[in-house]
Amino acid sequence: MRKKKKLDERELMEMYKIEHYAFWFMFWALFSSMFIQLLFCDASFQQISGEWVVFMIAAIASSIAYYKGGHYDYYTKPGIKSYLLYSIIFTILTDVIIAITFYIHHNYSTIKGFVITIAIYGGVLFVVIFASMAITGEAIKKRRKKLEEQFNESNNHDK
Amino acid sequence: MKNLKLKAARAGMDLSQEQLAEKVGVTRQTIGMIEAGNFNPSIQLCIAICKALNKTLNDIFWEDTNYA
Repeated sequence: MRKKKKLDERELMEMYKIEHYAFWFMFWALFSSMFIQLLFCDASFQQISGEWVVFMIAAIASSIAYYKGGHYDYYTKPGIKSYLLYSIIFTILTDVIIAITFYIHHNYSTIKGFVITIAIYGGVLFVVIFASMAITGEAIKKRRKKLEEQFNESNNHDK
Repeated sequence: MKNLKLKAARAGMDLSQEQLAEKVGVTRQTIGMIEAGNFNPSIQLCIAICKALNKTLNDIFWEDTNYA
């Protein structure tokens, strides 16, 4: 049995806002915690597995909910421009992290080898990220069309 | 944007913010924030407020724009 809320719509919206900021803070704090432990504290995957599980549940659950609602992003629409933009941004960010990790944990005799390694990782990352964004973006476009048609059909039934 | 029409309509019915809030089923703070222009109510809440004050949506929630 669902309990009736004792909040009015304004209070509800304010609470949603609070929970929104709290969720995103926790999400990125978890990510940062795992990152710092793996990179700088020599932690094994087993040591961060708890955080990883919680992080992945939140990430997957959010993604499924976004897909179901046909939601993509706050600032862009699904399309080649946004796929390229986000692929470049995330490739650069991830490549920088990889570069730092490799520099700390490996001894490179020449800088050339280091640069080539990072470039190859960057190339592969870009392709993987772009492909993932394109697949999810196109899936969301299809989902939006389906949702639009769903409401059109119900309007026709009312007539 | 402040909703002075709402304030005037409420005063015209001799209702306090608390009394109007109770009639409509929201908190006094919500009515205060709507009047101060700090919260945009949903259409359902707008209709509930209009019914409580015996006014139409136009009377309370229509924005007057001056066309030069």
